[in-house]
Amino acid sequence: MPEVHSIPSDAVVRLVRRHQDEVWRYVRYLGASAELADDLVQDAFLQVLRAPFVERSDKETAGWLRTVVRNAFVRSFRRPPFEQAELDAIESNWNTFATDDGGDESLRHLRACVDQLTGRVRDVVRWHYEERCSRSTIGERLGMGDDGVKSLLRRTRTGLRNCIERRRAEGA
Amino acid sequence: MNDWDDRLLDASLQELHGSRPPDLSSRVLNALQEGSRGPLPVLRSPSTVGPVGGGGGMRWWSLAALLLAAVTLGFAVALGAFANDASPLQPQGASSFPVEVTVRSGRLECVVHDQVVAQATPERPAVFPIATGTRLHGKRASSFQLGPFGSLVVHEDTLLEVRSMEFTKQHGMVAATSLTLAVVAGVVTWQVMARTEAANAGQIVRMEAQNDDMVALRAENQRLKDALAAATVENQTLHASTVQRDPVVLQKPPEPEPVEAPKPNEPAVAVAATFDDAKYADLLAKLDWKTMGTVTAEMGPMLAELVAAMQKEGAELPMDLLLKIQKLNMKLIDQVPALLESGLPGFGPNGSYTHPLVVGNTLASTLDAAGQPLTAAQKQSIGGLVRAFAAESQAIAEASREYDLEQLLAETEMKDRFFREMGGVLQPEQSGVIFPPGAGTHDGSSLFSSGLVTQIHGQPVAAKDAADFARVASSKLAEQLGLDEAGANQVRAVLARGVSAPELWQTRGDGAENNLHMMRSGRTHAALRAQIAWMKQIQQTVALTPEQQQKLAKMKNVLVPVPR
Repeated sequence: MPEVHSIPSDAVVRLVRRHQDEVWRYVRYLGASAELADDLVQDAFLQVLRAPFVERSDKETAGWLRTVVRNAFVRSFRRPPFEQAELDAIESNWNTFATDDGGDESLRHLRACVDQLTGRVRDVVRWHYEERCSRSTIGERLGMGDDGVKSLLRRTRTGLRNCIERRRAEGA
Repeated sequence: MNDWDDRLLDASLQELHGSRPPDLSSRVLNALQEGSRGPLPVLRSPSTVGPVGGGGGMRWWSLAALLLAAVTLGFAVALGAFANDASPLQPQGASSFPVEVTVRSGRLECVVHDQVVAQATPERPAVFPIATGTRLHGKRASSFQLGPFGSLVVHEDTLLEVRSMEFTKQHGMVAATSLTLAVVAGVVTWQVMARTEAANAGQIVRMEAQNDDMVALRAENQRLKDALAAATVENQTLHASTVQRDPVVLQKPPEPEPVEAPKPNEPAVAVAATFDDAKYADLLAKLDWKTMGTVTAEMGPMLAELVAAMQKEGAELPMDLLLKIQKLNMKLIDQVPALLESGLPGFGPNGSYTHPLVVGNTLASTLDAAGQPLTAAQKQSIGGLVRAFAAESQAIAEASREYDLEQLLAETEMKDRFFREMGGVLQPEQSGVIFPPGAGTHDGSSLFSSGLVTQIHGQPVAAKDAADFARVASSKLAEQLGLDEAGANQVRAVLARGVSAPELWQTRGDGAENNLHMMRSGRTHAALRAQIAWMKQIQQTVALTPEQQQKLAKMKNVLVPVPR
């Protein structure tokens, strides 16, 4: 008969709430759907909590959880969704974005940058991300083709990225 | 920007627009209990984690409460003072933020990790440590002000959980800008602009903090009121001392201009209800009919003015008017907990508020306040209407229906008849008080209309045609019911057919609809009829799980097409 241990629930809740946002964002960034991200993050915590894991610092715990969830995400595909050689770029981008707060500050900057958008660019962001319109629907509204909408969205994201960096540099 | 940068921005934009990380702590705990156990992990002890210790010392929120009293704007505080890393009861995963809670009636508890860490009552406001996961529990119906986010009313045993909170940084200070709450159990009502909204268990409430101008205006207003009150007291003291020193020679000074000094917790003057009902005698005694009448008489024309102002081309929100309406509406909302506790039948809080018994008495006190009281014959006629429609109201509430929204339809149609027949009893002058010019053109623009009930449950969907509506609404429904892509596509086809009736697309949304969500009178009612029909179609044609069927049957929101 297996030995039953009792893990203090407040400690578990504290650990999960401390890190869940960052790990969930990370696996969404890798390409997981929201539903898959929920499952993978839950499994990552279970794996950590059932392993002989020693909590030393938030940074180390976050790193461990990211590795666990990344491996689980890769295993959910028959063929790896990205090359091993891309790992450095993936981690480097993430570390720039997440800094020490799991990405909260970057998201605040992003919200401020989105609020500054005007005209067609503001419309395209709203239609694509809020109303979840397809590119063809947006194209109909703007009189553009699919590729045109795709380029516009990408240019918009590049502009937003620059805006975040600018705000970060200004200490806004 | 490389491809991974682009992906990161894409995921972040999705998160900003609603795809948020959930709280997985319960799921993880449950899974841990279910699964086989391995060696125990070594987690850091709470008492060693944060700089503020556990049980014995001053809790961080007590410190926050003391510091909070020293700042002017109540919610704009330096984050560094409070973004404490971790006390044992502080929710993790997000910075906590102290929010002042002022309870007008009832009692509200702040629950963190299943422990009550603070509570607010009418006698004792409190500062709650708000962070992701913090729960607000109203054991009984309560009305309260939640910091800068506005005023809420909760039904008995309502549980709200903080999902997220957003901040901005201005002049080195951090201010909360929005708060997202999940309704875990019960019902909550809150005020946005000039309208009142409600959410049930499973729904999300997003509240925006009032902007700086309004907060500054309110602070300045309070400062002036305090100064005026102090000057009045000083004036009276000086006057009394002068009279005492030389009572014979002194002539009586001229009467001072009437001033409105703040009168916190002033006891209500009891005015008996005009129309009674033994079953609800306690409720009728609890409600402040004089305030209800005075406020209603004053607020009615303002609501009509608001809608008229928004009809002008390029109209901006008349903030001064909105502030006045909000202030008056708060006095009405304060009566809601008593209504909820009384068990008066009605669809949601405004359903109880528009119950014939409440409406009849409010009408009588409104006319009293306007100097146009009901005659004895009118009282007799309206008393008969109140009794007849109250009985019909009870029957509607007790009837068994497939969909909750069918009750809303039956109730609003009954109340439309009641308001019509009651209006027929009034003299023209009285009618002008109860139905001021312009009132009733939009839901929520008249306090004597079933639009008060539909306004709360209407969810406008701006669309150019039925297909456009179906696309947006099916996405909302898919999320609400948990449908897969195939199910969502089937629902979309049903919706496109279900809202194709030309009368739904004849009139484009106007300023009041687009900016205040006050729908043109009749629009929500037409959408409600259409919705009940398309819900039945979905039930018949889309393969739903029992859980999805139940969610569909329990839906309380009406998706209202608003032509662009």
